[in-house]
Amino acid sequence: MTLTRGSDDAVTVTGRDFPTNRGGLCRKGWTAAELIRHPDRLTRPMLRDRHGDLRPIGWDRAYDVIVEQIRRTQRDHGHDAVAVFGGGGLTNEKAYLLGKFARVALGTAMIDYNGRFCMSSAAAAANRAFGIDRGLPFPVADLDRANTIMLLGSNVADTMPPFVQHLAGAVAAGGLIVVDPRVSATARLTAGGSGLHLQPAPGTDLELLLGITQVLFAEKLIKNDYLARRAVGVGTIRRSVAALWPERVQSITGVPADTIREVARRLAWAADHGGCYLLTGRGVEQHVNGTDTATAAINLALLLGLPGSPDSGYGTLTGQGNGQGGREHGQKSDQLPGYRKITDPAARDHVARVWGVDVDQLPGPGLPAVQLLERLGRPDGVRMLMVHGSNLLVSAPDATRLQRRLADLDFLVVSDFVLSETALRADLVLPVLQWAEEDGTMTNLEGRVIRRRAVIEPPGQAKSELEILQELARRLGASSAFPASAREVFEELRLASAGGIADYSGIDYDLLDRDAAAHWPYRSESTPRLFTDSFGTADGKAVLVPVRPSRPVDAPPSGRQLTLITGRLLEHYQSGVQTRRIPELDHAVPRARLQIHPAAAARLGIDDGDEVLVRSDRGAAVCWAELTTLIRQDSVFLAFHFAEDASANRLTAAVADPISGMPEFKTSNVTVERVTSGQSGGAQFDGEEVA
Amino acid sequence: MLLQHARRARRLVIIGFGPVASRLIDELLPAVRDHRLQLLVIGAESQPAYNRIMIGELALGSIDQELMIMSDLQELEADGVRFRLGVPVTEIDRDRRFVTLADGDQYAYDELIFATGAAARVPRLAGLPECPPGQDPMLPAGVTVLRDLGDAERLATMSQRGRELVVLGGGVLGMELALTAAEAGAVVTLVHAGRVPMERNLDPTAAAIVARHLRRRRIRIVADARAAAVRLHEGRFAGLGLADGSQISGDGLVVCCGAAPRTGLAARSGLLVDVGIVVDHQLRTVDDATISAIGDCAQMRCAEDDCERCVAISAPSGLIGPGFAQAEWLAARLLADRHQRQPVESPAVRSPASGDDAPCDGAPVMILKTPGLSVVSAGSVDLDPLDCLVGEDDRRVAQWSDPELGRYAKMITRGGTLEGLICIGLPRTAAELTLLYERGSELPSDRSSLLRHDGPDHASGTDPLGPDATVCRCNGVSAGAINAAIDDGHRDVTAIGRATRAGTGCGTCKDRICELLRTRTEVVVA
Repeated sequence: MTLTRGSDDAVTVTGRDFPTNRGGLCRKGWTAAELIRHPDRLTRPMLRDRHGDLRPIGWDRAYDVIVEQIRRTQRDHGHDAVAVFGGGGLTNEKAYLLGKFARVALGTAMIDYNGRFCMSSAAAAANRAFGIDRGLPFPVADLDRANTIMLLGSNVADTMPPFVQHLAGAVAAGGLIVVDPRVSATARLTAGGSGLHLQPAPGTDLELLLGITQVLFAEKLIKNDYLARRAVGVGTIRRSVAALWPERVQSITGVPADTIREVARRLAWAADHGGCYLLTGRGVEQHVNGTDTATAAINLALLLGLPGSPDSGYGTLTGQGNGQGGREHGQKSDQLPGYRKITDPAARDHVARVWGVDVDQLPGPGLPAVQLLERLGRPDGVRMLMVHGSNLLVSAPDATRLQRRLADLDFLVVSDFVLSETALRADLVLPVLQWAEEDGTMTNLEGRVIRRRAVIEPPGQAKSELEILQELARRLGASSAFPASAREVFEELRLASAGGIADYSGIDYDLLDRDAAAHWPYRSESTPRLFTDSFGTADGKAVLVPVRPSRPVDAPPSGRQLTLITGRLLEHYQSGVQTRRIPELDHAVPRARLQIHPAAAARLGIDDGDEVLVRSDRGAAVCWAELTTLIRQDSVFLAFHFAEDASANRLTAAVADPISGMPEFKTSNVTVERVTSGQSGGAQFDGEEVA
Repeated sequence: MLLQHARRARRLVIIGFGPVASRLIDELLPAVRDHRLQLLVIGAESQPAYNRIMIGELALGSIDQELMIMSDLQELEADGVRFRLGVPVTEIDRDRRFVTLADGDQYAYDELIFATGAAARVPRLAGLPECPPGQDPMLPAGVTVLRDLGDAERLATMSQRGRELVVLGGGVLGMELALTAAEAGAVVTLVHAGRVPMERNLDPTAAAIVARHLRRRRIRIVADARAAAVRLHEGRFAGLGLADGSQISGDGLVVCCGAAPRTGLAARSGLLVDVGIVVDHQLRTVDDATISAIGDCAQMRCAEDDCERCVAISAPSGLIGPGFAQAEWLAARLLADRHQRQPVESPAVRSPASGDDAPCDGAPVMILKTPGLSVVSAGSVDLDPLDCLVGEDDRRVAQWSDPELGRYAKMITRGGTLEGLICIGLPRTAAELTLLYERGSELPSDRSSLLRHDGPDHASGTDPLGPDATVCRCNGVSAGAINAAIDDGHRDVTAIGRATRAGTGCGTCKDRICELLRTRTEVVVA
């Protein structure tokens, strides 16, 4: 979007004509400027005093305190006792410098980020199948021409509304296939002959995909020529689906056998007739078997011959603002810039050279988010945590337990621009910049690098994180330079990423300022389409990895239990820390509402608007019932944007996918009951007491 | 020496290599790879495990044999599993714990698993050699059962387009076969003993709806029939004689009269056999704790007389889900035994606590696997809505019936959860009811809300029968447009395809077009 600063310093937002949104903005975009001058903005560093209150202090003192805490913690407990937690909303420059800060200035292996809760399963699946993880390996506008698009677990109509225009071709051709346990706004686009909506029980997406795959084999719809040329492993897939014929899959998923057959046939037909895309989203990825589910979608795409073909493909839709770039340059526990593996000796050598440090100084792989957070405050675990661009306490699973973990830390530093729920519990809070106040780059879902430009001055003493990291590194005596200007950081990122998978070496700010379309890998030219000739694996062939159904964290609901699905709303962004502060958005959805089917509600004696208590094995949340037929009778939906006793993540489990580290966000067993008048609502039911 | 030092890996021998055994092997594989377990699989058939459920489709040419294969011998052998295939076990020495094969080879075991499955049951018919239950029948040319790959080959030659096929047995398998063979162009006569087909799974209303569907598919039904004799001509099937003296001639006969557990070896080895090999809730044979049985050959029957979990079975269900569940459970039990020395390393795999029992699905869900007709049935279905109003019955029956549209639903619940169900012509409702039944979830008190899944007012649906409903999604052709084409004289699917492009895409809608053709032409004729 484009920002304009008026004569009175007020900022207005307009949509920019760009391939992804074509000038459109959603409600979050149109109101984005409102947060820039919000009274809640943090303008000074704040330190918790003896009485437990956060009090403003000067920057010099803030740096002193942090450096002292780092030194003491690392002296007493070792380098890995200080951990860094980043965010998928940070610019590429900040994400890159944060990774370098952890490895070089702190010498800790313990860094991970909230993208672990977002893109990690799709990333792991793409890496093992294609050897490259770029959300869409093709420009988003390619979707316009497809006559069939299957969206798995993605409610783009609410989470990324301008994207919907790219579905128009498939809608017109009757080929929009949406897989979602909810009749989401996106699912409703399939009505009236525009396509099909499959409404599987939560947590059964993998079986559904395997069932569709079985039909492809059974009806000889797989593309043998393509597979022979471009992939390995078909035989194992055939055997792995032999026991999942459509009728059996119906009894697991609740999707009729004939619908499973119809989808398989439609996809196969479309692959030969003008374009077929499979796109996954968080709905199928945010599970303990998220990597396998994304893999099953990729296998399906490969069997249909889609990836790398000119008019078809597979992709995953990025969640956070810089969900793509944020996962490429070293915030991940096992990763170095350029999407290199920290365990790869050649990658370590290259990056150590660019950073001018001894390669043996670089720590090895750390722990993915859920395991990292589990170590917080443990005697031999993480004693000090630095959080950047993440409101952990709302977005991480099992929030009640995490709250105790955070309290056990010796020292918590949070950099944010408002007092988020996590910042409220920090020992030290650093005021940082909003998007309109900083320079940098982001990488969008199609791997395209985009400029962000500062148009206004930051309020008070708020500072760029680049500047903060530079000063901390200097005081810690880091053996490498930490530039504070975004342009300089990017120049270094170019060198560090050169030769890596996400190679940015041919991109510079001048190029981006000319609005050139720069899709990575970009050495001498942009790569809008990947995989046209070969995949990113050693032999250039895609790998079909057999996957099989696994046991869920919570057993399937029985009796009166319901399955809780968490997710997002149109009006809110991530932990809600920004959007809950914008009156227009907050008024639209001011409080946490639990979507529940009227039939389920009637059984439980719940009316529309009732205050309800939702419990799981992990904890409890209080919210208000919203009766709707747009959800399955066996499921309830609660957005995770809300905090404290309305926090959906008090109900989720901190159990993670063994491959990607993704937590299980979408299939918690819960019971729901009406809060009677004698109960005083939230206060009585804070998570700790109930748990 | 059969006894060796105590610390070697335990030796597990599995008799049988069907789908259930294959599943058990897959679950045990990690322990085999780590040399914690030595695994020997002995199979009477020489092929690796395949999915029997699809034998009918294989015979009628709609799928490849390759698709049915569930195990890769080379991969499993590379992982350390040993196989002896094509050689049956002749004897088990339970005292010294070793098995003897037909070729004289002997193998010691610490734990033995029966997964011998079931054999097709052939009724006593004049002209056929007698076949005791649990043994594979020897049948003359033109007569087959439907159990293994050889049967599929025989059926393939009998059911080509235009051939006359007699299907004996009105159960699920017979129904599916009759419909699939008719679809493939055979002229099919279905002969069954009951008043209606699928008598055990359907009530009279449901059965009548299904019977009408069969007739519309040009399948001739001979009900209330008692088969008495097979008439052969030059050693080949020529006709089926009924007890009332009538004859049904045809080119081939498929006997679909259920299956019986393969228990011969177990009985010879002194294990208790009732209908199947009798096992307790831990799947162990009641006589020998080192021997277990799973799948179709096993019958759970503990020492308690009135145990609710030990349901009386008369024959294997023919469904594979319960067998898979038992295989998973048994693997967890076997690995947990192992792990008494080595703790479970994967938190994802829950080992059964000592108090846990093996899954026991007394009444699994039956889903008719055939194009154009959605039939689901589970549990006990013979109760009528008014039955519960008299006496002390605490069950509740809700029922919806619209035979004209071929739709029917019945939900029998106790305490709000399903004990039985029938659902016809309502595919989404059927799928939801299946889930509710499998999970034991409570139904909404207003049962009719479940029917809405197939209604035009469902949030994401349109009336699938209305004139505006899109029939062919690939080409966006509505039912109205197809009806108009029918009225213009286009009287088959190909002609309608030329006129409207309907059905020329992925082809899924051809069934619907046929249905419209039938209804429309009937209306026009009338």
